Formats: sequence, structure tokens, C-alpha cells
Amino acid sequence: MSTVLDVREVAKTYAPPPTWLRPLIRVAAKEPVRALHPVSLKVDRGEVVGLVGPNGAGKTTLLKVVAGLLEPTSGGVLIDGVDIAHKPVAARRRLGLVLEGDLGIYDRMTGRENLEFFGIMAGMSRSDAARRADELLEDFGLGERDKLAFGYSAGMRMRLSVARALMADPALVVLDEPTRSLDPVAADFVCGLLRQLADQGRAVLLSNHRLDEVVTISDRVVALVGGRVRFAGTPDELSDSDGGRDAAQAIVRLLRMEETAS
Amino acid sequence: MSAVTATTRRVAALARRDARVELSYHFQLLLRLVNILLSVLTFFFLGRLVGDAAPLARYDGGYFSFALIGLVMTGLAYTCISSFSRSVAQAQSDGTFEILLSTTTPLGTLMAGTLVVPFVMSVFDAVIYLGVGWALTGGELPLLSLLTAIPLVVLTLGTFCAVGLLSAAVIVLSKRGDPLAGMTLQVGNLLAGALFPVALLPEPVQVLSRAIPAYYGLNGIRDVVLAGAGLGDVVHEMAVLAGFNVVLLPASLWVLKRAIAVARVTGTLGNR
Repeated sequence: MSTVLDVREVAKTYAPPPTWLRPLIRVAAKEPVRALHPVSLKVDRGEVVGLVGPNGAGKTTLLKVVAGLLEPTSGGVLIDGVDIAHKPVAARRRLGLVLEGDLGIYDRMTGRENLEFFGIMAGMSRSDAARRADELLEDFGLGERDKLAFGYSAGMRMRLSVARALMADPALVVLDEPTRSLDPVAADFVCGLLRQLADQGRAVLLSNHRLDEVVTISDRVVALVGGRVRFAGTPDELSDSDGGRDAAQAIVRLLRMEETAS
Repeated sequence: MSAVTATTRRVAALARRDARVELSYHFQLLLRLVNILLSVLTFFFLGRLVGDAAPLARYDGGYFSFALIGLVMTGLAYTCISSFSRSVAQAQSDGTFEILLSTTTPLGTLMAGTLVVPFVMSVFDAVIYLGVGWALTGGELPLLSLLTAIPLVVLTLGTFCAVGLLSAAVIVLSKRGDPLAGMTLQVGNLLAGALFPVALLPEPVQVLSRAIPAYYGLNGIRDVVLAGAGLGDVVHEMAVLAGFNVVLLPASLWVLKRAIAVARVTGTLGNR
């Protein structure tokens, strides 16, 4: 299997802005905050990798570094062999992004208009974007093409967000908490969808607090605590490491132990 | 696909998006129209009070025509100054800013596309301002000469776009407040002669006026529209404005790019 995402020793420290910029920039901490110690991971084609960890573990930071929205303090990210720091446009062409649940949708536009718009922003022609939008709306059960997005349920918005990420047919899909605020049925639908994306040959990297979902759809699980990788392996390996217990419970035990130790 | 085609397509998509949103707020459009009417009427009656004051001797049409040009340019300038920062603030608020920056669309294209609809709406405003003004002056306002002044208008607005890009950079970093937009308009009103001739200002202050691009724009436009000058008579103004544009536009886009780079380091790019 070929590697689509290669995260190489990525570290991130949120340094306070330079003194002359401090009146302008509001930051939470006045001292440097180390969010990620050097972290390495790979996601292969056809694979779902689930990031788990407590709040503040560095999951979103890692996803944003992968998406090129945050500059790492050191290390690098290759998407389909393209270094995002050196060739950001070429790297972004291979990336689909879903941030913080269903953020990033224009409420006053229909689902179709949203998809078409982001398709064109990703470099597609208008006719290709329209065709692809129709395909995805059909596949994702969003048949009411002329309904404004503000009339969508949380589940529909999430499906639309995933569809948006797939407009340019990226090799890698990155999702930050894709099932947050979804009811169990909608969450199950989205999980099935993500598994399907991997089965179609894409690489999927997601973060999620719902551990049962992570172990169900992920081929590998990466547990982050305090910006460090504390476990990386298959759900079965995770289960074995905890005496054959349920993998989701094994994660909870692992995270508890790490929190106690720190 | 050529770069020009790709850029045009993206700019058109951004314009369609903004048009879709703007046109869905019908009441706001109505209020906008009422605002223009009230504003023109106010200056019409103020013009009756001021009459043909001595500092306005070189212009036809008295104070009302003089102020009308200032009002129209102030409206267009405000759009150029505020559209970029409003768009960035809105995108940060609805969570689309990071998503847009993660696409392959260049920043310059995003900004250009963002300006289209507000600018077109501002041009409609200008047409209404001038149309109402023309009617109030009994058809004496020389509207056709405005076409001759278009190069001056474009050059003047280019300098305001540069301020707009700087204002967007401030918003990227600070998230709130748009000090440059308000300040630039106030400075323009006071020093550039938007609503009264600069000749009324004390001599030393007039020196400051000459450091402001809008001063040259307003002077040139009024000379063409209200004093019967041709473009050949305002070459100096156009040259000064072109110089400001050549320096300010690339510099302000660079500053905006740097602001985004800083936000990428501090992790504040998508903060609301």
C-alpha cells in the first residue's frame, strides 16, 4: 500500500507574538506553549487512521499542520509525496478538509451552490463542479438540491461538509471531530461514509472523542497525550495491550493512566 | 486551462456567492436606497444655504454639485476600504476562512473576488446619487463628463483598495475592529476635500492634504466633471495616483500575506 500522508517529526510550539504585534494579536497564553512534541505518523491509501486523546492533547493542532493552516515549529508534512511547506498549492490539491464539525458552509446558499462554489475554488471548471456536486449530493442522500443550507439538520450539514471536502477528489481527507453534535443515527451514517471513502482508495485521518466510533471505522488508532504519541496500532493491538478488553475501553484506560502519570 | 481563465472563474464564483447572500436581504437593499435619498436631499438643501461660495468659483453647479462628487467618491472609497476586512471577518465568523485558505485559490484572487459585488452595488448607489442629483439640479449636472473621469476614478479607488488590504491584515491578526477604514475616511473628509474645498484649510494643513492620494483624485475628477477639463489637463493628478498605486497595492497585499503567515505561526488564523 502506498503512503498518502507522511507526517515527519512534526513539533509545534505556540510562541507568543513579537512584542510589537501584541497589541493586535489576542492569544490565550503569554508564555510559549508546546502543543506537539515531535510526532510522526503515516496514513496509507485505503486506510482510516483515528486520532484520539483528551482535550488539549494536540489533535486539532496536528490536523491543522497537516492541512497547512498552521506552521510547524519543526518537521514536515508530505501529502502524496508533495511537501506542503515547499509546494503548498500542489499539496492542497490532494487534500480535502473538514474542520470542527460542520463549520465552513454558507447558510444562505443551497447545498448544490455550496459544493459548486468550493469545487471552483479548488480549481474545477463550473460544469465539472456542477456535475460532481450533483453526484455527491446523490451519493450522500442530500437530494433536496435547492434547499438552503440553513434549513439542513446537523447530520445533513456534516454530510455536506464531507461532500465539500471530496469535490476535487482528493487523495487525503482530514476531518476534525466529524460526528460532533450528531445523533447516533446520523453519526453512524457519517462513519459508514468515512469507511467507504477509504475503501474507495483514499487515505482518511480523523480526530474523534467518540471512541467506539474510532475503533469501529479505523484501521489504526493513534493516541495523543500532551502532544506525544502514546499508542499507535490497530484496534486489535490496542485490545491485546489491555488484556483483550474492548478497544474503546482500552483507550480510556490508557488515557487515564497517562493523565495520572502526568 | 490558462491562469487568466482560472482566475476569472474563481472571481465569478466569489461574486455569485456574495450576490446570492446580498440579494437575500431585501430589506437592507431598501434601507440603502432610502439612505441615499436622504443624504442627497440633505446636501441639496445645504447647497442652497452655501450657494456659490468664492472657493467654489472654478466649478459649475455650486456647492451641491461639488459635494455630490465627494459623496459618490466617499461611497465608492468606503467600499474599497471596508470590503476586504468585512469579508475576512465574516469568513472567520462562519468558519470558511480556513477552508478557503486550504483550497488552491491564491489570496489575491480571493480578495479580488470579494470586492466585485460590494463594488457593483456601490456603483449602483453612485448612479442613484447622480441620477437624483441630476434631477434636483434640473438636468444641469454634466453626467456625460463623468465617463471622461473614469480613469481618475479607477486610479483613486486603487489607492483605497490598498488601504482596504491593510485593513484586512489588521482583521486577520486582531479579529475585531477596523481602525484603518474609519480613520482613512475621516482623514479623507477633512484633508482631501471630500465635502469642502481644501483651500479653506490653513496653509500648513494644506501641505498635509498633498500627501493624500484622494486629494489628487477628487481634484482631478471635479476638474473634469465640473470645470470642463480634459484628461490632458489632469495628467499630473493621474501620474501621482498611478505612482501611489504602483507602490501601495503590492505593498499592502504583501502585508496581508505576512499577517496570514504570522497567524499561521501563532495559531490564530481561524479564531473568532
